Amino acid sequence: MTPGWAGTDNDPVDRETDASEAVTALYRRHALGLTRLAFLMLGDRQTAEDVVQEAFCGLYRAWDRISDHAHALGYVRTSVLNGCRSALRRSKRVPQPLAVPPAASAEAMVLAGERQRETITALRRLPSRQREALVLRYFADLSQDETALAMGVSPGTVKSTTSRALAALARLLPEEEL
Amino acid sequence: MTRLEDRLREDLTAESVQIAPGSIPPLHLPAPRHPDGKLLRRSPRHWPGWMTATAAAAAVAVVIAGTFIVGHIVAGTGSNGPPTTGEPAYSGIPPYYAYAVQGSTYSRTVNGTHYGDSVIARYVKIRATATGKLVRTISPPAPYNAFEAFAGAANGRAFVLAANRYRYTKTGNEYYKLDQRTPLRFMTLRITPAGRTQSSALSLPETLTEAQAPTLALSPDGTRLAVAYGGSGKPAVVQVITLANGRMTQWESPAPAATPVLGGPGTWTANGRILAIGQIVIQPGGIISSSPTQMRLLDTATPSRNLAAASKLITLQGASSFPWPFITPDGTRLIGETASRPIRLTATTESGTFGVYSARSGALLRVVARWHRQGRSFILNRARQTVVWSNASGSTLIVEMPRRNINEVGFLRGDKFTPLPHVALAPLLDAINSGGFQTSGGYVGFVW
Repeated sequence: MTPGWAGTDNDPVDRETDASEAVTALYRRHALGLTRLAFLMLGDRQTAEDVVQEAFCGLYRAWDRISDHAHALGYVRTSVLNGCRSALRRSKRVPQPLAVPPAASAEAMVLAGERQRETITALRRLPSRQREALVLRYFADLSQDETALAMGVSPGTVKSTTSRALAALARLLPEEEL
Repeated sequence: MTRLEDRLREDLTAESVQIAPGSIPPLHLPAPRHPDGKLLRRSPRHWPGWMTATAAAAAVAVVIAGTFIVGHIVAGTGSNGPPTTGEPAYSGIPPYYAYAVQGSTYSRTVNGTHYGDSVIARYVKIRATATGKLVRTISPPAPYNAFEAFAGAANGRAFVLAANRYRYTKTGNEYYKLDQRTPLRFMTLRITPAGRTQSSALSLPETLTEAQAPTLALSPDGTRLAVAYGGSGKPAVVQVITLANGRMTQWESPAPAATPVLGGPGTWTANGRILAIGQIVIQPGGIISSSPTQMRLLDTATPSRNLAAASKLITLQGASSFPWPFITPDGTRLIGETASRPIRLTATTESGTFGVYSARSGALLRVVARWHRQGRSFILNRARQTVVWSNASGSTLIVEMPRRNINEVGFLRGDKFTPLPHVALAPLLDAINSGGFQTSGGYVGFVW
C-alpha cells in the first residue's frame, strides 16, 4: 500500500451518520492520499488541494443522492480525477504548464535524484488518460477494476491504456525496458 | 513486474511525499444543508475565514530568531521527554505566540539618580493568538537572568528556550555583562490541549556557551532540536538532537567556513528532513556580513556528515540581505527581504519588499508587499520586516513589516496585508534598543 494512501473502496461509513461528520471523517482518512494523487496528476500543490476540497464538497452536496455510502471513497476519487481533468483543460491556455513543475520542492531538489525528475517529467508528457492510469495503478495501487471504476472506463480500456502508457514512458526514458 | 514499473512505483511515491502528512488544509464544507437536502448557501472554499476560525484549533509554531543571534549552551538537569504531541503541523495559523520582553537586570535609584541595566529578553511571554490572552510569563531559572533565544515547534505547542546570564561587573558604564563562559541553560515549555503550560529543564548532549553563538530551530513535530554554530574562522557545525534520548547527528565544514544560522520559524520543511541554513560571515570586531546572500539546504537524512556535501548551496539572486533563512513548509520557496536601508545614521528613509525565491534555483520569482517609510534615524526608529509563519505553499504568510509608521504583524497574501488582531505593536518612534522596535512590553522577537 502506498504511504498516505490508506483505505479501500469499502470503508464502512454509517448511513445514519450525519453527512458532514461522515464526509469530514472520510477527508481525514483520505485527503492526504487524494491530494498526492492530484498533485501527481497536476504538478501543482495548490491546485491539487483545491481539487480535493472541491471533490469533498461535491460529495457532501451529493450525500443524500448516493445510494451506497460504502462507496463514497470511489465517488470522491472519481471526482478528484474529474477535477484534475478540468484543471488541466483550464491550464492549457498556459504553454506547457506541466512539462516542468512550477518549482520543484527542496525535497525534490535535494533528495530526489535526477532519475526521479526524469520519470516525473516523462509522466507529465503523457496524455492525461494515460497518466491517470499509471498514477492509479502504480501510485494508488488500485486494481484494474478499481482503476476502471475511477476512470469511468472498462477494465479492458484500463489494460490497453496502461500498456500504451508504459510503452510511451519507455520511449521517453530510453534507458528503461518494458 | 518490469524494471520500468518498479521505477515508476518508486518515483511516484517519492514525488508524492512532497505533500507531507499534516500539511493538508482542513476541510471547509459548504454551509449547512437545508432539511430538504439543498444548500442554503455556499461558503467560499479553501481557507475561508481561516484568520480566526482555525486559530484556536490549529497548530503551527514558528520562531523569529531574527532579533538576536547569540549564544546558547546546554546544561541543566531533568528528563528530556518529547516536548509535546499536538495537532497536525501547518494545519492552520498558530494558536499561541511567544515574545521576549525587555526588562532590567539591575535597577536602583541613589540620591535621585537612577542606575540600571536592561536586557532585551528578560522574560518570555506566551499569548493566545486568537484572543491575545496571556498564557504564561516565563523567567529564566536563577541565577540566569535573560533569554538568548527561543524556538517553537510546528505542532504549535512546544517551545525550547535558552537562558543566559548577565553577571555584575560594574566596569565603565555597564553594571552587568553577558557571561560568555557559563553554559547556557535550556528549558522546554509545552502547552496542553487544555491550554495549561508545563516547563522542564532540558539537557543536551553537548555543552554550548554564549561565545559559540549558536542558533536554534525546533523540528515541526517538536521532537528534534537543530543547533548551528561556528564558522567565520572556525569549523561550521550543525547538529540535530533528538530530545527524547539525546541522540545527536552532526555535520561539519572545516574552516574557513561561513557561520551557519538557523532562522527559527522557516528552518525546517514540514516533513522534518530539510534544514534551511543561512550563511553569514562575522568579521573581526563582530561586524556581520551576509553578502553574498547564500543559504544551504541540508538533507538531514543523508549519510554524509560533511556539511557542504550533505547540503545544496543556493544563492538568492537579487537579494540585498538574507540573514534569516525562511523556507516554506513544502520546500518550494525561500522568502527573504530585499530591503534598502540607509547606511547613514541620520538618514530618514527606508524601503523594502519581501522577495519570494525558488528553492530550486534561487531565482527571484516575485516581489510582494513593497513599503517605504520616512522617519527618524534608523538607530532610534528602524523598521523591521520578517516572515514569522507560512502556510505549506507560502501563499499565505504572517509577517512583521512596517505600515505607515508602525511595525505591524499580520497576514500577507500577495500584496494584501491584514493586521493580526491582538498582536499590535507600538509606534516606531519609541524604539530605542538593538535596532528593533518595541511595544509597551518591548518585543524583540516572536515564537509561534
